[in-house]
Formats: sequence, C-alpha cells, structure tokens
Amino acid sequence: MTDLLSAILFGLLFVAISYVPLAVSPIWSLATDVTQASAFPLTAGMPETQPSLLTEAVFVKVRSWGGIRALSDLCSLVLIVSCGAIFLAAKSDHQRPMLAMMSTLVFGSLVWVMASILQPAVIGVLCWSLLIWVNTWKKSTWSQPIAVAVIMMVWVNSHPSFSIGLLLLLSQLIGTVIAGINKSKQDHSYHSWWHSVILLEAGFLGFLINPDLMNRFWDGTMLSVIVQRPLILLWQPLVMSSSLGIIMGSSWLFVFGLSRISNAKFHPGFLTTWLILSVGVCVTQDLLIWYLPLTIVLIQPLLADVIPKWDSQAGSKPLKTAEELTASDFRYTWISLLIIWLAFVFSPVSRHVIGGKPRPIEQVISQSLPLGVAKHLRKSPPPGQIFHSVEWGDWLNYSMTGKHRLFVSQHSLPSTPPLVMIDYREALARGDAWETVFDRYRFSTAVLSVENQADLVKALRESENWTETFEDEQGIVFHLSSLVKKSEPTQESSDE
Amino acid sequence: MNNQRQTTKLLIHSILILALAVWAFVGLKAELAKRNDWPEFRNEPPIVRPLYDDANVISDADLDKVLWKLRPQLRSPQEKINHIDHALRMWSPSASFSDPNCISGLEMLELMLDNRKFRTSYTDQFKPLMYAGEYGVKVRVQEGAGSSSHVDHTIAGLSEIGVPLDYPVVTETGETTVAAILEASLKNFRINQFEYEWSILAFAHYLQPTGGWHSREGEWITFDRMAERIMRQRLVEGVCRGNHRLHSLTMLLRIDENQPLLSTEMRSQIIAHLQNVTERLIQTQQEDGHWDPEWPGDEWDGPQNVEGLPLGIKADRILVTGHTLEWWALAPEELQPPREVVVTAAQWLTQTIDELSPGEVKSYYTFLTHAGRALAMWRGQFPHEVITPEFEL
Repeated sequence: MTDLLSAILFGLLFVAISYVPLAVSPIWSLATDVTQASAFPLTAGMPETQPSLLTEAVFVKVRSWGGIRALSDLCSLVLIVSCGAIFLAAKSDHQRPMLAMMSTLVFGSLVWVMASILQPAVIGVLCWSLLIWVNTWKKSTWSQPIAVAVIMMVWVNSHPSFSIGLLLLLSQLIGTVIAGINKSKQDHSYHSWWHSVILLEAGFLGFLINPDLMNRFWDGTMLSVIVQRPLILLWQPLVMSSSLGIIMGSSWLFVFGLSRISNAKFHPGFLTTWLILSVGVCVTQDLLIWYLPLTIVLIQPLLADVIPKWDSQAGSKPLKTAEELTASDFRYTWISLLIIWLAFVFSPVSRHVIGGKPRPIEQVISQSLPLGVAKHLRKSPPPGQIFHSVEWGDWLNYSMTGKHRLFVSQHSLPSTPPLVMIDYREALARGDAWETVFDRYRFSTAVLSVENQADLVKALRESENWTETFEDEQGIVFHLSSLVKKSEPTQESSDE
Repeated sequence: MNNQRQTTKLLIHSILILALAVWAFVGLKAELAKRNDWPEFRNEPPIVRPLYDDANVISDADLDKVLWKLRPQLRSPQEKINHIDHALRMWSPSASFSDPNCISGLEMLELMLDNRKFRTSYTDQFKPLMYAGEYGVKVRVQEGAGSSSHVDHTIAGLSEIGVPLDYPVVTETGETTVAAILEASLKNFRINQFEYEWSILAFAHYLQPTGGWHSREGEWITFDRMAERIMRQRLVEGVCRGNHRLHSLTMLLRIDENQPLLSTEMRSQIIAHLQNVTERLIQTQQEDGHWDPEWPGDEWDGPQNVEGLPLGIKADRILVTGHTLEWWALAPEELQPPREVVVTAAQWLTQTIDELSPGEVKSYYTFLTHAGRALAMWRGQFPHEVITPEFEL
C-alpha cells in the first residue's frame, strides 16, 4: 500500500515539476547561434571556455526540434529523473519507500520553490543526483566504478560544476579512511577504503575524457575559482534573514537535532562532503543546489532510526517472501505504472507523444524574463552599447535580431574580464558611480529590472541625460536623452 | 597472503594517484607558463620627433618668450610632483637653466626616481612616490602633492623623453631600475581600467615587437585592442578633454612606422578616427583660434557632457588648444588640418601665454607644459633643444 502511495506522490511531483516555467539560465544555450564576441564585445580577447559543450549540443538540438517548449520539457524531465535518483539513494539505506518518497518530496518542492536557481545547473544536478545514488550502492562490484566514470564523463562535458563530483569521491575516501582508523565504532561507510580509491580513480578517469584534459580542471575550476569566479560569477554570501538563509539554518538545526536524538550514524563520506558544502553555501548561496540533495540522502539513516515504521506491518504479520510476491500478481506494479502514466498524461511533456494543444509561451517561460522589454528592443533596436542585468543578457541576445552590443550574460560570464564585473557591480551600487561606469563603456541604452535594480532606476529617472522609453512589470528601458530627441520615439508601455 | 594482496593493492593505487598528482602538477605549470607570456622590453625607447618646422606658426622670438615664461621655477620645497612630472616631460633630463629658481632636468629626474632625493624635498608626512609593489615598482597616484596625477603618467613621460629602462630607481627598499616601473605597469594593466592612455604610450615605447600577451585577467592584449579601447569612449572623455587619448593614438601611428605595432586594418581605423577628429576641430575652432572644452561638437549619441574646470574657461581653452597643437605637431600629414588652422591656434596660444600672470602660470603649469612643448615642436625641436644653458631673455 505504501508503494502505491509513493507512486501517487511521485506522480504528483512529476506533474508539478513539469509545470515549472523555464527560467533565464537554460536559455543561454539558445544564444549559441550568435557569435559571442559580436553580441558581447567586452568578451573579445578573453579565452573562450566551453565546459558545457554537451549540454549546449543537446539543448540546441532539442530546441531546433521542438522550440522553447521542448527545451522546457527536457529541463523538467531532467529534474524528475534527478528526483528519482535521490529517491533511490534515500531508499537504499532503509528500504522504506514512503520515507524515501517523503524526503524526495521535500527536495522536489524545494526544486519548485527555487526553480529559477536550480535551472542553470540542471544537467549538473542530474549528474550529482546520479553520483550520490551510485555511491549508495552497497555491493562493491565493478559496475559501480564504471557508472561513476560514465557520470563524471558526462558531467565534465556538460557543466562546470563537475569538481563537486570529484569532491564527493575524495570525501568518500577520506570518510572511509577515518572510519577505518576509528575501528571501535561501527563502520558506516558504504564500502571499503580501497573501493573508495577505485571509485575516485574511476571518477578521475571519467573526468579526463574531455577535450581539454587536465586543463579543464585548472582553467575551468581551480584558476577561475581562485582568480576570477568570485568576481565574475557574482557570488552572493548567504544572508541568514533571506528565504534561502532560513532554509539553510533550518536544515542545520534539523540535522543537528536529528543527530542528537538518533542512535544511527551518518555515512562518513557524505558527512565530510556535507560539511564542506555547508561552509561553501555560506560563501556563495549558489552551492545550495548541491547541498540540498546531499542533505536529503545524508539524514536517511537517522530518519529511519527515529521515525516509526508506518510503512511496514512487520509486527502484525510476517513479510511475504520474494517468491510469494512475484508469484501472486503484478497488481501494485500495474497500478503504479498507471499512476505514472496518468502523471505523464497530465504533464505538458506528454504533448510530444499523444499530441495536444501547446501551452501559451508565457506559461512556459518564467515571468522573470524580460519579455516585454525584449519585444520593445526588437521593435526599435538601440544603437551602441546596452547596459542590462546579467541575468537577462542571454534572453535579450536570443530575442533581438540584427547587430546589437550587449553587456554580459550568464553564457558570456566565464569569458568576461573580472574588471567588467566589478564595474557592473559598481554601477548597480548606490551613489553616482554609475555615471563613471556608463561613460567608460559608453552605454547609450539601459535595460533595468524594476525589482532588482531599483537604485539605478531611480538614479536614471532623476538624470536629465537619460529618458525612460518603456516600462512594464519586469523591466524599464532608458535611452540617452539626446538619442530620444533625435528619433523622437513615443513612450510606450506593455499595456498599450 | 591477504596482507600481501592488500599491500600490492595499496602500492598500485598509490602509484596511480601519484601519477595523477604529477600530471596535475605538470598541467598547472604549463598553464601558469601560458599565462606568463609577457613581452620583452627594449632598453632604449624610440624618440618620436616632431615632423614640421613652420615659422608662421610661431616665430623664434615668440617661442623664446613662451619657453622663458614656462621655465621650471620649481625649486620650492614640497613642490607638486605633478608639476615636476610635467616639467620633466617638457624639458627632458638634459635641460639646465641659468635662473637659480629653476630646477634642471637631471634634478627633476632624480627627484622622481631616487627616494633619497625625494626625501630632501618631501618630509616624512609624504608617502614615497616610488614604492615596491607586487609586480615591481609602483608610482603613487593621486595621494596629494607628493604623488603623480594619473595612472602611468610618469612611466609614459619617461618613455617619451628617452629614459632607458636600466636607469636606476631608488626606493625605500633598495635600488632597481626603470624597468621595474614598467613591469608593474604591464602586469597591472587591464584593458578596461579607468586611465589607460599613458600605459599604452609607455608600452608602445618600451616593448619589443610583440604579437600580444595575456593580462593577469587572462585577456589577450594587443596594440590593436588597446587602440580600440582608446576609440571606444566619447571624444571629450578622458583627462585633458580626451586629448591624451588622441596623443597616444598619434604616437602609436608614429612608432608603428618603424616598429610594427598595429595591423593594417587598425592603422586605417586610427587614421580615419583622427581624421574625423581633425574635421571636428576645424569645424569647432573659434574665430580667434582657440577651442572650447566642447571641442568635438555632437557625436552620434549627442552633444558632449562637459563640466568646466575649476580654474575657469581661460585655463580650459589653453588646455584644449595646447594639447591639440601638441598631437598635431607629431601627426602625419594626412591628419593635418589646413595650416592656417594651426597658425591661428598657435597665435592665440602664444598671446594668451604671454598675458598670463606668474600666479596663473603656476596654477596652469601642468597643461602649459603641453602648450610650450607643442609650440617648440612646431619649430621642429623639443624645448630643451631650443634653449641654451644660459637661456634667458
């Protein structure tokens, strides 16, 4: 019965996640049609790093096949599969599907809440979930290192977050070694220390199957983390009063409290990685997407220890043997499959199989995207350099036709000089620093977010040199007043 | 038996991990080496000489009068380094004067480059002008009277007057050479930095022919990209109403004639840019010959947004007119305006300088050095070549 309930919950999660609108960042792959240096002139001269070749190839292929809707469906499916992997990883500790499902629901609902944050690394999240799951396999067979190698190979060619996978494998080794030294207690490692070494080696082997070999690690990870990434990736330290801070704080308290009341122990490898990620999240909250699934799996043994076994009637009657189960019928399996099929039918993904009316594009795409602004700029392409929010750069690049000079986007971030990002922050900071920055890059158009860039919006409104030409709920467009006078465009808004 | 098996396993995996570590180390070394492709220096910078000698622009007598007025009477203690820096560029190290109030070129050079001499004029409340930085010797900028006024202004000035890179520099931490100043400038250079025109000028003089190099930001730097950067902003932006950027572009063209710096396309782009500037200057020259701060007129993105100098409009006009005549004196024929434009401007400048009070000369000294140098160069000479050791009126 609990299996059925789990299937129903998974079906609901399936439907819910498939309706998560496509947020800004996956769309960076849409921008690959346009030569980066021509659309983002400030990247000229910088090395072009391409750690996401595989993702881009897949995304562009899917887009060319089914447009943005298909891309949205792909992202949803990837997240659903990630949830599935987390479910399996969670279940591996206690074989209690209901408990694992409830935990996965927490992960899934956080995916829903933080959809726009999760999206950039959607393929990375999938690899991360699969790697966690593979690490929970208790049998130390050769299939495990092969799976680790394949996952790492896909990851290193799909998303620059692959180093977190290497961190997990290394932590597993450290954890098993520590557990081995402390022999007086029960060893909670999934496997022996030397099997952890093999997994680490397999991970490295998989990682090395990329066009840049070791350079991908130095170039894409170490040097950029040390030299550039804090600047160009706009690392935001965790603010405890924010919603993410509350999630983090609650999770720490929960894990701590659980460890006090439970007699079970954490898996040392997962605990090591979890501690490192906990510190990492304080430095940059972007790491939350790696922290969450690991936390879900980390706490399973303790949860299983403290939560009563509501999904087992072990006390009243003996469990059926495997032979009895398989010999009877496939009722539960068929009903579970039916539930999953129903979930599939009710999700937009099914359109590709059973047909149906496509959803309006406004529902597919996140409302955080500047649809109105892009439409306005497409209608009257501005000359000269445009200042805009980094998060909007790829959408603007995708939406605008012809030649345009954009500033920075998520896609062009790794190739953007750090000083440009410092200037970007400076321009958005309170005060009149924006004037110097605007002069330096000769911006003649500013595309600003109403919600996130209110200070600069206010400053430009107060400046005689800038005139507002468009406004809707998401964004505002300003042009140099001299340009407005020349062309005399009429003020418009999305309502008109 | 089991122990032996374990040991073998341990050995094999240790070797594998060690091999990976070695590979990683070699990879890192190669990566770092790739980022250390700094260009080589040349000890003796080229001297870019003026191209014209036209007595209609300024007569010998008028030039003497102007230069006399602009002699470096900078012997007072704690004189602004900014003034010394400019005076050194105008007069060069070989200039000397009979006027006891004047400081010779060599004294100026030593004041700038030798911390012991610097300390004879500047008390301990001033931080040293030259100090050891992360990548070489850094020049203190915009920190009061004892500091330079602009990023890399000093090294650019030294390059223009031909100071070799092996010339000694003495800081609080010891003795080094001018090359250490250049090295710091080169390694701190970023294409989008706030002031870059003097850095580019110094690089054009002191670097061996190079196809480019990686900045510390990982950006590929070439003279083409630097020229593009100069031309990116509005014409009036930049110190001295944008004129230093025009000067740097002119110098790139001149140095490129003997030592390849630019691609053919970029050379053409620079020429077109400067021709456009010359056209604008012809259009906006005032009847009496001077230019106002809004000299470029309207660009495609509108009129210039200019705030007046605190020193007043006369100072602003001297600044723009003097600087314009300076880069024109070095610019090839194809960038020249009709000669009467230069003559009218030079006449206005000469007369205006002649009418300046000593107080005004003191206040305007930095940009007057550009005016004085410009007028001398229109007679085919640098100021120190015009004067004799007994120079006086």
